[in-house]
Amino acid sequence: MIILAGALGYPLLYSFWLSFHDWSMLTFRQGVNFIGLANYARLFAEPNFWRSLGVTFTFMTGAFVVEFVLGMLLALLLNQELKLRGLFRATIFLPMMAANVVIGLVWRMLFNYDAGLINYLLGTIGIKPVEWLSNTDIAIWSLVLVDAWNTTSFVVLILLAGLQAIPDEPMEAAMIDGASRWQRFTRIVLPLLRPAILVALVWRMIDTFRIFDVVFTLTGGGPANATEVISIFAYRAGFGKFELGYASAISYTMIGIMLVIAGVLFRRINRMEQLY
Amino acid sequence: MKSNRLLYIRGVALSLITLIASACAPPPANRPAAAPAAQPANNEPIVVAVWSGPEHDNVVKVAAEYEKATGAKVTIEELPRESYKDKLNTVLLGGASDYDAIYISGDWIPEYDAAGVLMPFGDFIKDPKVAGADLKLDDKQPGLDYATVNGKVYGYPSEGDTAWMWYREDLLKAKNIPVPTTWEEYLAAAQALNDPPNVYGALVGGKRDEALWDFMHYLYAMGGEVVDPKTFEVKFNSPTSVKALEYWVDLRNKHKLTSPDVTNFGYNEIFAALQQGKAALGVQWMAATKDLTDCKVSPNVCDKLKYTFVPGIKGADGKVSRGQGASSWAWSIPKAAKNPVGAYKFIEWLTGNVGAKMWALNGGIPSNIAVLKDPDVVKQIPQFALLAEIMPDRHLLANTTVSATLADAAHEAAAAAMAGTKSPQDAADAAAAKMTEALKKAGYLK
Repeated sequence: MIILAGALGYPLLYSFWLSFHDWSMLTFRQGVNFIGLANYARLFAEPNFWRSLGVTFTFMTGAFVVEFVLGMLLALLLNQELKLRGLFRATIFLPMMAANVVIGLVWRMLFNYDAGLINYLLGTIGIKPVEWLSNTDIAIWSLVLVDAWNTTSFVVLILLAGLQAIPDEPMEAAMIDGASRWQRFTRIVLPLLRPAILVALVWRMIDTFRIFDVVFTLTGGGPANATEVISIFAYRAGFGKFELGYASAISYTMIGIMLVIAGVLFRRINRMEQLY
Repeated sequence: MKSNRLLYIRGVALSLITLIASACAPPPANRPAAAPAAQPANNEPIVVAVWSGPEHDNVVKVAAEYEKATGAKVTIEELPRESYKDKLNTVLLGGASDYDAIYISGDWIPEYDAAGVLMPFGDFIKDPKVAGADLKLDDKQPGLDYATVNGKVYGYPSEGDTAWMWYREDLLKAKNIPVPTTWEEYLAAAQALNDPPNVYGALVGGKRDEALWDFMHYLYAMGGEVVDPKTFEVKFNSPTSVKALEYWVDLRNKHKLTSPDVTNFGYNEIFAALQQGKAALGVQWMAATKDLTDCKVSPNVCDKLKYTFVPGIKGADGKVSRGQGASSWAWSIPKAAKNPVGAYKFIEWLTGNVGAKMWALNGGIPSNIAVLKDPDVVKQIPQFALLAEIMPDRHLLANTTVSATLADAAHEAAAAAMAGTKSPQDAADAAAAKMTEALKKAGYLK
């Protein structure tokens, strides 16, 4: 417990302390100067911070919508009595087991404008090649696609567990009352599945908010800064320019934003549990 | 209810750990003390950090010869090109003793000097037990000056790279087009040879963290500048520099002479495009010459791809004035190195007449003047005859403590202009503002 507290607490407190100080390569030798809220003021005045925050929220929202829709469809499918259901389940979960760096590199090859498999396949059906990673309007959606491929199975896992926990009685009663499949889904399944949906939402939000490795290997934040998510923005400040005080301020701002989002969502989950 | 709270706490804790990782660094108290320079070489292996690419392949070969000659053990650690400096920053400023010798760009040295993380060579040079009797510092100029800050030598120059214009001789001949010598001719030839997606007329690299390393050749060739190396006045948004940026950007956006993917191209991608025969014309660093002309490495283009001077601007007198970007890389020793004496001896050998000759014959561009003039080397490496001609036209980035910030601002601007998110003028103005602020803060400008 002491080791855990030290391993977690020390860097947390130290980086919080650092966020109020100027510690860069140029001031490294002189020591760490207290500068109050200057790092935070600089951050909030930096247009690139707001742009990268916007990129991050676009990515978060896009990824969750796609993953939720696909995840729900797959979970409903896997909840049926199907032949080879075990094989389907295992196959769906395979992308989750791949290393993110490998995923980034493989998808970079697949997305290649001139020699990528995806544009080749599109060409065989008469569709013009797409600038998957080089167009500033499209690149972020290519990242969403890769993230959906990688982690939809996680959403499936949670929703499937939720589906299997739904008792048979209300479904049987609804069938006797003549409810259609759609009515059973919208009025029984979805409400009972809300806690699972919220859990999936929270985890995916936390995960997508701090995404780094796939973006770094796939686009490096480019083209220009079109896919520079907040963690890459922090990485550039911290490791590229080695402005550790400023990078700590970015990290703590990220933590603050995430705490608010996660807090609101968990409060909703608690309310759901009280209702159902 | 309890399980949700627990889940919340766990989730937040996990996120916090990940998020603050970038802010975790040892406190100043952990900074290493300077290692005594005159201590004897120990039996520890000499651990060398180098970025991936031709320099890594080269030092592996030369180090093997050093091991044979001296019995010392050299371990080469290859680091990804994209995050090389980030990794070095972390190791050096964290006071870790991971490496004994590091391959660094000359413009990083003032910053590392300010941070006090490199070991000066002065004590090694003075010590006859450490420095070789045949050490000739004059042979290492002008690269040695670029590795010297406030009179302290922090490294021996190893690679003085610059660029060639690469062209597909077979394609030019097929259309009776002469080899371009000016940028007007270059554009006309690229337009004539453009046949996408088989072969693009031109090739540029607009990757966010590497764009300047490609654009700088166009910039200097057209008379532009990033920062005046003497007065430190920012020139990146001067009319000449913006015109160069427009030309570079237009190759992709206006004339459609490159693959759209060049917004994500850096050294490796430009190399691959040339190697795969995907470009008729392009500018690429000289360090790629060995591989691009070696039929074992580049079988599709080795006999078709040729190189010559980067195009220039034709003056009223008909003469072509040239200029091109350059880099000066050196081998340095971190202050926390475990085996500094062993590292110094290796570096001295590597950059001396024997090691630098091997470096050259393996495809490197040595900074050692004696080796560049060595008749045996000149005979075997034809590009060195051309190199001598363009030596005065090479431009290095201004050597300041904020060079990383200057380069980052220029990368960002060039990448934004290439991707079309900003006009060349707006991108250059934004970069110039950042550069000016950084130079003022560091005391170079009032």
